Amino acid sequence: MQPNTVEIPVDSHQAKIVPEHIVEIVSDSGEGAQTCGQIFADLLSRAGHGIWTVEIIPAEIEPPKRSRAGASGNRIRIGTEKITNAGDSADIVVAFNEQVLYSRIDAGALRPGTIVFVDGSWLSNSDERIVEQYRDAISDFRARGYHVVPLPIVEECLKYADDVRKGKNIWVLGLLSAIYDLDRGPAHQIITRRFSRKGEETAKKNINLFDAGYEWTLTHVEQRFRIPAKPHAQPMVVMNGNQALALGIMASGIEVCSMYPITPATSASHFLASAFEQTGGIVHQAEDEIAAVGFALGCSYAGKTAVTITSGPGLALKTEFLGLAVMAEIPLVCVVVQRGGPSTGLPTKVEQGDLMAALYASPGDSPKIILAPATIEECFHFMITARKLAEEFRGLVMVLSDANLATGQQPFPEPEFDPAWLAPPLDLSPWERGVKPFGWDEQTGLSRRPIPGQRGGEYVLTGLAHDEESHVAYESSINQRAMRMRSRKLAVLQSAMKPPAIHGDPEGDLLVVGWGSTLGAIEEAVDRLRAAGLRVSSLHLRFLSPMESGLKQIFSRFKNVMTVEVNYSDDPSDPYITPESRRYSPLAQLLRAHTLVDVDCWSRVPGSPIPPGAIEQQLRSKLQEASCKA
Amino acid sequence: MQGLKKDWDIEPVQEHHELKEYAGALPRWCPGCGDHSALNAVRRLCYEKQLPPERTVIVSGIGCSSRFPHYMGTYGFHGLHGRAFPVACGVKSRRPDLHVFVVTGDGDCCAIGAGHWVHALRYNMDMTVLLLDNNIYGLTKNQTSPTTRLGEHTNTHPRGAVIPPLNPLTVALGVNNVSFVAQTVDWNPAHVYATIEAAHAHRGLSFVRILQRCPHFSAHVFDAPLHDPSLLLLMEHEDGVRMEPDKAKRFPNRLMHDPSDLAQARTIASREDVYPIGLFYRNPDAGCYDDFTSRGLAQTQAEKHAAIRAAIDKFAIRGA
Amino acid sequence: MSATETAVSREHLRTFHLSGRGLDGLRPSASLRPALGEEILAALPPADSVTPAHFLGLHASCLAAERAVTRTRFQLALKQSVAHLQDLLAIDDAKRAPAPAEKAAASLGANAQKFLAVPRLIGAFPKPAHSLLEPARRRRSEAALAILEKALAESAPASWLFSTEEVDGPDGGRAVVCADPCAGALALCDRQLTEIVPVLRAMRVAALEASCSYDSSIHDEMLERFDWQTADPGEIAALPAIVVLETPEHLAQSSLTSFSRLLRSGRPVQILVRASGLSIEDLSGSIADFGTLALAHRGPFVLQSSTAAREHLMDGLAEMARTLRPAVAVVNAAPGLEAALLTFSNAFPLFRYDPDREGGWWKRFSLVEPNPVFASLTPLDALILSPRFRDQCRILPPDAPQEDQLELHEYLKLYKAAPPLVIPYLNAIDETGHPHRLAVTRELVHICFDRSRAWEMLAALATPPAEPRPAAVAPVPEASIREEATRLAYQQVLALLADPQALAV
Repeated sequence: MQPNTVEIPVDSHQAKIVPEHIVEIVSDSGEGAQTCGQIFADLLSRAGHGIWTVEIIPAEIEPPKRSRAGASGNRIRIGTEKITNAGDSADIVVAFNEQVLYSRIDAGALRPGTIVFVDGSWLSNSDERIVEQYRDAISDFRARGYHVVPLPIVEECLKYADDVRKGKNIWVLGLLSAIYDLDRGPAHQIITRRFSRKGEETAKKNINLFDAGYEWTLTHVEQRFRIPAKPHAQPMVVMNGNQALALGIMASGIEVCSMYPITPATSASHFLASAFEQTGGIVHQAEDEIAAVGFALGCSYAGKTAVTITSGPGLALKTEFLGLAVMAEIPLVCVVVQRGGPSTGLPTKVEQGDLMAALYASPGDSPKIILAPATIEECFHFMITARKLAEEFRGLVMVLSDANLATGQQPFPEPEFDPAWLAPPLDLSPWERGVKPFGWDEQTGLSRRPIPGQRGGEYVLTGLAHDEESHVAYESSINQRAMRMRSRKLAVLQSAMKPPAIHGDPEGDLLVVGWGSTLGAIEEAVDRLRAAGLRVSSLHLRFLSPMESGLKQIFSRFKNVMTVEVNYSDDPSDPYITPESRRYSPLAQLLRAHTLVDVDCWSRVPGSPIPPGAIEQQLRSKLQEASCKA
Repeated sequence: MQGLKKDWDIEPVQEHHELKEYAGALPRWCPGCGDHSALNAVRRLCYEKQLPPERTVIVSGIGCSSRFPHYMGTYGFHGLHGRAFPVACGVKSRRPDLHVFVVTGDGDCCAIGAGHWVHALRYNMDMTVLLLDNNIYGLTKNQTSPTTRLGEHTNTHPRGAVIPPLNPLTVALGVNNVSFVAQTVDWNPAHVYATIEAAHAHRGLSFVRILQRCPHFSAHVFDAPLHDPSLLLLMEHEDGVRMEPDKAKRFPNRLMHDPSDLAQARTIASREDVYPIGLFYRNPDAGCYDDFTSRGLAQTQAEKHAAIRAAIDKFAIRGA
Repeated sequence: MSATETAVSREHLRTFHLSGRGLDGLRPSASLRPALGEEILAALPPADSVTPAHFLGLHASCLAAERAVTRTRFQLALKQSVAHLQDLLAIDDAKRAPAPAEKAAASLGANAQKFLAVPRLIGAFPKPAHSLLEPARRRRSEAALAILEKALAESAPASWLFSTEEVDGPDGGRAVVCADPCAGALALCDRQLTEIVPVLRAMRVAALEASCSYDSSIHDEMLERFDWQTADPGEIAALPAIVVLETPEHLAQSSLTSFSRLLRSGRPVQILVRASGLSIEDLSGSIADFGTLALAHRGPFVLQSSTAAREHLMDGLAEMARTLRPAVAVVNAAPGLEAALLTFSNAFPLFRYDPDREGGWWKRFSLVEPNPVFASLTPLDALILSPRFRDQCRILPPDAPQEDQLELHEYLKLYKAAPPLVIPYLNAIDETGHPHRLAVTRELVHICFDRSRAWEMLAALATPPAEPRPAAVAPVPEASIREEATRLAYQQVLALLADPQALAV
């Protein structure tokens, strides 16, 4: 082990210029690695870098210290260009202890050559077992090929703070800022703003810690990098997907968000609860998921289209009410921030497993619109579209996001608010004589609805089969017609859809189809393969219901079509799995049924975003397999 | 001096609503069903108070009693089994101008919807709730309901109900922030009306349980108090359900009960020897969740636009 | 006190008592206080629990607490009315001129056109209803909106304070110094009420229009008749409160007319009359009882209280803040002990008159009966604290004739029609703590007598009338009277028959 107090003469000119890097900061829960990561990401995006961040969250609030399961922190992918996903393995990892690092190793986040900065102070710990653990781990890390650099974090921090548990993260922020040659000024500003709530002294102390980390690094750390930044051409905002959803809700003119706490959807409501009041809205925390959607539906019925926001298990509970929204044609927006399932599944982890539940989990036929944002920016804009479509199509619009979008942070152009996004004020003028409450347009199935308060529009909404007057009707012809009218609406929407854009050439050997948060990773994998001369393209769906138009035609121009999803599907090589018994991933099932094309799938449920490298590898083998067959 | 002239009324009856305006479809309840009595009382109340039909919303769940909105000429929401309460709260949330009624049955309210019922009492939003309690599931044909008496024979318990019934009154009175609990019987229209009138006048959630028979499946369940009026205990108070003295006199068994006395209300509601009718409890000062849900309604468009811009701008990144 | 003076004779005493002349050598020195029993001292409130300066602030905070919520609520209602009308007009505008294609497209969000052929989609949307606002409704709404928007933009102070000299007004309030505060306040109040009427009228238009229930045949005339007296009390309470600060002396000398006019006006103005003791113009003259004077107007809310009666003062001011009638608080803010002694000797009784209370006069009027411990207090116990009255007192040497002296409170009890033929005296203590008997002039006794008369009048007002007494004999039904008469007659006949002598007569 190299003594870590020896000064290494370091010259900033040695900084290596790289187009992008992946940094991870991990600590025990409560040591502030997440704060460090957030500020670091903030600094980078201000400096004009592309970034994508992923939170590393332990499953418990206070896991045991120095445990593998307790790792808490952030992954930040930094680039000169726009970054669209979390990438593959990390280039630099800063670990506050060696044990939390193991969880990242288990997750496949490191590769041989990854620079591992680890707090070396554990070596002088009074507990011999800890010293031993540390020694063993370090030699193990070296054996794995990581470039281990122990740092005297605690020792250095003690010079500036009494409680180092609360100070290490800012020292490390100094370290990272120095490694990536960031200006100190903006960091000082952010630290001051962030800590001045806790008093000027705390802010000052943290500035000192930051400077200490920065200066120590300049004289002791030889690994230095520079990622060229491109100043943003337009004003940018940076936020995570749940914040984007919440802001989108506000900007859509929705006034009520009715919810029940559930991970990972809840943080959107947290943000709304603090900010909604300013724009005249409220968050209703209901007694359960069913009541949450019922309340939203009641509010919508009374003229103010509401949103309910949930995750998989909550979606299961809401099903009956969602069916009522369809049946009684009440505008409603239901956001599902997907997590791992089935049942309670993986509450904090990513999966795209609720697609089928969203589409089909209803007794009888329940046509609805399903939107899936693929980026954080789309999380914002899709809410405006969703509210409008819900009102015009008089029914349910579901928006499927996932844990990856929910917690990931990414800069995007600042939305320029347009008052046209808002719901128009409630029109309570007398209802037009002769217009029926379900006066379906014969062609489109669309109709206008009376709002309580409109004189002459009095009707009784019902979940029973009903005619145009909303009178309960069991006659078969009426039921057939009403079902036809409700279904027709989706066809109308589909008729106004543009064929999806193809990433890459419009024809080739392989087309990859994805939806939701996998966009960045899939396109990056496709780009790498295309750079290697392979004929691969990709396509990403935003509308899952109605399905986007022109798919069959697009598919026909590729020799192979496959989906990549964070979902379960049987591996064809597994025992008992035959082409007949194989269960495909949800999107593949839908596309096969929709296009009658033999769409293959590669999908995994690792609980984390699938890195582009893994996709790249799979696409390569799919191409090989296809060419062998050919 | 201020207040000397009282001739301005903000809602002068500009157009007089006829009783028939409050009538919707022809009720298809069985003859002798207690639901008719509640329907008549609600129609009369709407007429007496001249509630604008377009600003009145009847929300119900599923069951015989939940057909109620179809028979009114107002707006209605005939939703899901057990889920009338969340819907009604949602309707009221941003529309304080609406008069909201919830009509529910013993299965709808006390079984499948019990969770929502308890929380709706807590939210205490301004609405009138009628629990039409006939101690039986009627629409699905004679199954045990939470209020079916021990030993009653039903299709699901042909050898008699096996657990004692739930007392919706003591449940309601046990909920913190409950603000109005009353009980009446369908065979005394005057008392039904007086109770519903008091319920509607109260700001907050007024919970009224109406004891009634199902002519098919629980026809004799209230025979005892029907034939022996002394089994009814009429609660009287100047703050309670007010009946005309000559009508009140017909009750041999009367009790002066101050509806602000929660402890006594709970004691009376627990009595099994008599059927207490009238107002158990009323707290006009209980907090109403409407006060929270209607926040921001006064915001002007310009304020809203500025606020949304500001909210987005908080996430702006400015170069160093 | 030296005993070298000439002996004091009964004649000396009588002359001094009746004329105030003589015994000049026995004039008391600067510091003199009443000799109060232990029991009385224990029952007195702690001095200066409410300072005179304090009570202005007390009133201001009562008023603020009472009105702040109302004001906020009114502002909210005003905003809501504006929002309603703006929405109504915006909806109508949209119907008159459907949004241009690009605006309609924008309603789907900023990136919908990436995935959707937006114009085509919009073409399929159902057409909105076409019921437009009639020109009259539109005009009316626009006019109301203009008034309301202007009202919303204006910012008025939370309160106005009118006084004759500079005082520290409450936060957010504005103070006005003028020679006749009552007149100034009345003028401002009239202006405020005149100005608010169009705003309140516009709010009613907004409410009616928002619910689509404006009917010219009814509401035009109704709105025409609408004035501030028909407004909702909450709306009037939301106006900036107007407060007048006066003194009895100033009122009596120069503002009596405007004071009375203000009380009769029915305007919601709060008048604080700060008395620093009994307002005695000259010894033989009358005492300005402004509480009773205000009471005589019957319409206003009246509070008479004292800084020595903290609870009564606070409760009273809080109640006063609630009323929208003219309201007067006459507060005895004499320094230290004087205020307490004036109050508990009934010279400056505590009462409250609230015309809005239901029931009889005695329910509206409530007079505080002092603790019986204070029965021996007289107004003079308070007055001798003030150097103003030193000239009217003499310290009696111990050798002065004592046979026809009587302690003042006993003397006053006897003083009904004519003064008793004895000399009243008062127990007092000088600066050295030495007790003395104090001879006092007839003038001071008159003041005491006058105060007890005033008290009796108030006490009579506060007494509920006696219940109508039940008839002493229950009426007997006619039938039984006849029966009884028959029985008596029958008995008489029997008696006569049994006594032939009687028949002989």
